[in-house]
Amino acid sequence: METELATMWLEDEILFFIWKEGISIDLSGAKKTVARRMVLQQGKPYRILCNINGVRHIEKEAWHFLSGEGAELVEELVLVAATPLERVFFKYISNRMRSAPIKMFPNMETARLYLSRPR
Amino acid sequence: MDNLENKKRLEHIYNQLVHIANGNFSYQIERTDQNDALEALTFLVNSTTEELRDAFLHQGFIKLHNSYEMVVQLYFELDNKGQILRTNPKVEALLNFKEGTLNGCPFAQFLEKRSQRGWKKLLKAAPKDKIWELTLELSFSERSGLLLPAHCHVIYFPEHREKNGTFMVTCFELVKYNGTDQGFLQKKLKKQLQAHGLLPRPEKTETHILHAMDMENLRKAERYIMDNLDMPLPSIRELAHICNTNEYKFKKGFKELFGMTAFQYQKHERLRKAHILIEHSNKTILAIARTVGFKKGNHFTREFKKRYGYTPSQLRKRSK
Repeated sequence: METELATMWLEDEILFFIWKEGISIDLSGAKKTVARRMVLQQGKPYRILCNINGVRHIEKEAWHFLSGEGAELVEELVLVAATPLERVFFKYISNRMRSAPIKMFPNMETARLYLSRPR
Repeated sequence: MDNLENKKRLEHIYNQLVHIANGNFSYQIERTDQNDALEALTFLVNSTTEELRDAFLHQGFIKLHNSYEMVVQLYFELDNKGQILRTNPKVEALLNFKEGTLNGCPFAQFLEKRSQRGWKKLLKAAPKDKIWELTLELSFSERSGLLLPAHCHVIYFPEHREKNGTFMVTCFELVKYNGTDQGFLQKKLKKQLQAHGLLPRPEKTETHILHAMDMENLRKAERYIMDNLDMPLPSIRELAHICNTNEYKFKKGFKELFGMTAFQYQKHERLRKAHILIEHSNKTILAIARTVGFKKGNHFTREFKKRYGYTPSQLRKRSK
């Protein structure tokens, strides 16, 4: 499934969520994207692998939405963040997220490995 | 780190911190396309500025007698080609230019690139034969390169006899309200009206618990409520215990910070969560009501309708 800001799909009970490169996320964009994710999930909570590589900016209102209402139906969140800027995004969001555990990995492979661990 | 561009970026961060230290939260640092440590630092400084600004406003709202007021911060008069005719002196101070150097310059020159494009489009597309006005967000760029985002109100007056068309651009800012003489008179008047029963009397208990109380502790209680939405609310005594304070301070402090009691807050959050789940999931409404801590469906429906003005099933139908 593809939106203006992100691409997402389900695979092995994991929701892959890739923000597009060079984007700036505002509140309305965040709301639309989360609405699409909800449609894809059909009301079922998933573990989410979210790649924020190349995200340039996230507006304050969008942060609040994404870490609050926008984080419903998330069982566990794993962010892929490579650059210092992205690591700061992770720090920022991990302090706010209260509904699900959140972890960060430097690349897709390690993140995927972590999520597909036997539980 | 040592190249010219990075030095400039570091300088922006430095300047911004000087402004913050002086209590000025109006500016933002312009972001670049980099994603290095400096960019991360820029993002953090910008976010901090925004948070501080909000925190100050919040304090203003709860401390009513020491509140904020709107003042005109920037005022521009432009000719019909968008060149500056005159401004208020504050403009020069805020944008960091010498007196009298702005007149005759194109207004767009003082905007950041994206705002520049927006402004030029507006100039092109706007009708020139009638009065119109609109509000838009523009980012000014002060001389050293920091951004000053502002909600601007633009008014256009068309040609009139020999006078060419002119634009007025104003922008407002919230500033801390300093009791002026006028404020003193108003207060006196208010007191007199209250004495005669023409205005409701002020509430007597106007103490500010928040000052004495650690906000971090109240956040703990909030988090506890959020994490246990499906459980009945613990007693006030237990909640106060979570906050390391007494019942009286907890009750007053919570209400001051969140604008409602802990019980109301829990209901508020339960309904908000339910709203999202109804809109976006396939769970039955009864199941959703249970997940957010309502035992009976009809009680849930009643509270939901009271809050949103429509029933859960109406919302479900609408979102399908």
